[in-house]
Amino acid sequence: MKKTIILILAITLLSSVFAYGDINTAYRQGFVEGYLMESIDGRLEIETYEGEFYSIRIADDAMYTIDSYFVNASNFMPGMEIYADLQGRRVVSVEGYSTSSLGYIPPGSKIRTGRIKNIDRNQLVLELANGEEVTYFTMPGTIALKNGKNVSLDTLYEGDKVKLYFDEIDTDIISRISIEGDSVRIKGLYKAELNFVDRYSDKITISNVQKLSNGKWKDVTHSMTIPYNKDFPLYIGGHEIPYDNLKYYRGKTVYLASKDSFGKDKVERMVIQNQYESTYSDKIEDINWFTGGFELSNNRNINFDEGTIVIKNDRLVDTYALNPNSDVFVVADGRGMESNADIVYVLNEDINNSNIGQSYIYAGRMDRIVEDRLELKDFFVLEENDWQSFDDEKELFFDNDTDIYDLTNNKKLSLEEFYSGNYAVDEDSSYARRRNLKDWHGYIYTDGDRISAIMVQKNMDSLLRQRVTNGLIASAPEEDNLVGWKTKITNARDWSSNKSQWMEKNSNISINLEEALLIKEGKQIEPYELKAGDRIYTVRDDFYSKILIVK
Amino acid sequence: MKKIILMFIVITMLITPVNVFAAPPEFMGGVNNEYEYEEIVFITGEPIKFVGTMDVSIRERNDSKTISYRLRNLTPEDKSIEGSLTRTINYEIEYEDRSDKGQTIGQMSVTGRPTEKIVINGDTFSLKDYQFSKSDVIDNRPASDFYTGNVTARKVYDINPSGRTSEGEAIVNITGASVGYENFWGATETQIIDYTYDINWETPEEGGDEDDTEDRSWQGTVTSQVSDSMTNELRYSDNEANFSSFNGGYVRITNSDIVGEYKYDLPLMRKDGPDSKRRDRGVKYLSKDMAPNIERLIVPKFRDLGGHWAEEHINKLYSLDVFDEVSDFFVPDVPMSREEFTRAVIRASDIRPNQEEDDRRTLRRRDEEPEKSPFIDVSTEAKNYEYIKNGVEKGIIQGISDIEFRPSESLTRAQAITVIIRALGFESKAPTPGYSTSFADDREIPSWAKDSIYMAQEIGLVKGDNLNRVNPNDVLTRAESSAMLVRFLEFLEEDLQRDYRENIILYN
Repeated sequence: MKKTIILILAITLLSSVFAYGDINTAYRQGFVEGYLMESIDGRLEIETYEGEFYSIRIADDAMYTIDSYFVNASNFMPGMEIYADLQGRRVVSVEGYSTSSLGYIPPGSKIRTGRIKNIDRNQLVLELANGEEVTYFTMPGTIALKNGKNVSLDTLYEGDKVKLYFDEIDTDIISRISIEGDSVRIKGLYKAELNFVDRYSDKITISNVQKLSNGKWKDVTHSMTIPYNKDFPLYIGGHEIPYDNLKYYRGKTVYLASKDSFGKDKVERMVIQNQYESTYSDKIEDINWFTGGFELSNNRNINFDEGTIVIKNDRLVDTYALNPNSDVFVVADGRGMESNADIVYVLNEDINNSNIGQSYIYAGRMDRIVEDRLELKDFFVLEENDWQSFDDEKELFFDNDTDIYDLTNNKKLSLEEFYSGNYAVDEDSSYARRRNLKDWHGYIYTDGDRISAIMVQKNMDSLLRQRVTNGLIASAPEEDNLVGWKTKITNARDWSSNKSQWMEKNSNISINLEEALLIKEGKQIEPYELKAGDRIYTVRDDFYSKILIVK
Repeated sequence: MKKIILMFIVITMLITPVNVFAAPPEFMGGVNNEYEYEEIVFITGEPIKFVGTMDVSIRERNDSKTISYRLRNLTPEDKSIEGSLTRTINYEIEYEDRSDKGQTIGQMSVTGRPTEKIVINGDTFSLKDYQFSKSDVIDNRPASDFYTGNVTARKVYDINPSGRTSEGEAIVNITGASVGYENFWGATETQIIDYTYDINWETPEEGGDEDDTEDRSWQGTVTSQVSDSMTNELRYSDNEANFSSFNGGYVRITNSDIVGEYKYDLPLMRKDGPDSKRRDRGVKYLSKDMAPNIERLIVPKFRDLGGHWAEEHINKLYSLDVFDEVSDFFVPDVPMSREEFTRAVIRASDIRPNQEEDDRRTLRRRDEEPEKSPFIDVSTEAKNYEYIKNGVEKGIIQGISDIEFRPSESLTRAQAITVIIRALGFESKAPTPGYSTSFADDREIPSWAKDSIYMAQEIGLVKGDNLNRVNPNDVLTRAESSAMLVRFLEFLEEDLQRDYRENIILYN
């Protein structure tokens, strides 16, 4: 008997020595990890990564998490990889792992909405609704949409409102941009006397209403009621006032910048006149950012502040969009030498909306045309609104999508007709001399070195007579029996080469479109496709527009 | 008898599903206010604005709703065009309540025989077939319902029918989608619908033989975007009199308006029919405002708020009955308790604690077992018991453990943010686990609050301090929590409207 007991004791002791390394490892190290074998029901059945099986009791107050989220025990599925903490021979916490794509969001589901504060090639500085400024980046694959249509990124302006879509949570590379359509544009600047304020519907009634037109205030109506956007602050003399106090300014003069809101005017920004008005149309010579003021060419110093309404390319921008050499129309408010700008309206316009755009306008003699390219000789480029001549050759490329127009014969040309026609010849060859052929000339609108649209004509125009004008189409073009398509431009400004300044016209100007290469969104369009209110940039020879770009 | 009526009310409340709400009238892009309806009709190939009156009648039953639109004799706004439009269409929506998922499915169809007749300058278009299907899914979240739907339809008109013959057929294919939300503070539904016009039309040539016909067929597309929106807002109104017991107070203003936009691409119409080359492309807008509705709110008179940074926020919430302290002192700078905040969020989102609970309690028989609180530290008799119970039931807030709520414990920012985001139901839109928020103190965020804090930053409810910290474990004072609640209300009033209306229509 004694022997038997000793034998059993010895076997038991020995067996525990043999088995110790297996069954007690987990208890010794205080955790176990591996695959869950059964649904959790009071016990944890687990196969470790090493292939050992454990069945361990779970404490009543054990914590269950899956990917750090607190869950119930029933959320654990057999086969799941788990990690369990042990205290003694009890499980006190179980963590499971399930998510395969960590930190995943559906592509395009991170969205930021705001106003473009600055554009520098692939960098966009966005001002968010809460005033925060963030820099995002575009990539070649970034999709841009405007008015529901896919557009090129160079349509973006500073001051545009955009919705940016991102594919990952911590990326600053934009996958898609939706750009607000024409509703972003400031359609009218008004000066009026404040009459009623309706805080229930956020509307004001104003009287003696004048609208800025061709650089002057013009009477529009005696009285009108117009809703306002209460999200923008209201200012007087640089001080913000709450809209609740607007009623105390009845009888005062207000300046309003209005937008089109679903077919009706709506005040986007409002500033109350503090003292007396003076207006200037001049170039900014210098800006002092420290004191918040600028000096005009006429040596007049004007201060600006947060309440100043700054409009550029018909978009509300902040004062940082101003720069020396901006040509501006200023409505100043003050007395004597002290004055504050209530409105600064920037007159400048360029072929490109920002430095993303690489569009150029060339004019010149076409020396050689082959299947996919042409060579200009002694050409001109429109640079800062002036024709600059180059004694050089320039190679430009075209493709099936290039719009080609023969102005002399008034017809659209196919690619084959263009390169196989006699538009560029060897003038010294006997073939050309016999037929009296000369090189033709062209006006060319390019995107980089790629021709978007070209208009060719037999003889060269005198470019010296031409000048650049920007403004708004006053009314849809009409086809006149005698002169053909024509239209009027309002709020027009001519570029003065002498003064290097945009000079405001004080009345509408007429232009004829019969000899014009009309461009919209990089494509040639027909005159009837121009609409009233389109912003345009045109090179014209007096009455005749030669190139007209819809901005 | 009283008991039976009460029982009946309780049952009706229990089985009545949440329905679809402020929605644009019909599906042709029209807008209306209390007395006038406007729509642009493209069936002749030219945009013509029709104006007139519309009768809408809505009948709701337990799980269905019938909407009847009756347009009587609309006429073109341009008086040089002779025309008329009459239309009668009844729609029925069947609701399938999936309360297990907190969602409702609405299936909309046309019932009865729809009629429509458009006459423009002597040409008649008479509706002979209308196929229609629309389906919505409504996610019923505690503070707001969010919904989205899809619609497809086809209208077929006879052109100038006479007896069994006609000059042709106009087929309008309609496809689109709608999105919307509805809460106590506002409701918006925006529809974006594409219409494809396919007109096959041969008219007898004037002065020609009987068989000579003129082809007036054309194709064109129109996209309409229309948004019906209602918002509630608070405005402060001064007291003009000096000798009054109070200075001024808040007014709740309800504004509703419908805005619409049509983008069209049609052939240029000439006297002898459509131009084969030139197109007429353009945009037309419509908008109609309802007269605002105003409601005065009670006047707060706390003695300790004058000049406090959160004075306006606290007064607003008090006016709305979100806070209902009877004391003269609000004591803004002491910590907010968990139970007070739960109560405030529930009251601010107008989630009424289930009325039937109160009714049931009064109805409870003496021998019935008394209600048992789920938490040991919140008695059923406690002032905020119903709010806590509702908050827990709706998933807005959880106990500290299964049995403990700790009602009077101070509220942390992480807890407050989590409560608000759960009330909106947005926490499920956070990324899959394993991400970091962009806050500098991301490591401090408790794991249960991470999704909510991420979403709160996404929707602009919170932003980092000067050092880009969210300070999740800081205790929130009563003043700070008031500011957060007011921001939550602004989100329900304005941010949602902007997201569902301007941010859709202006960018498309």
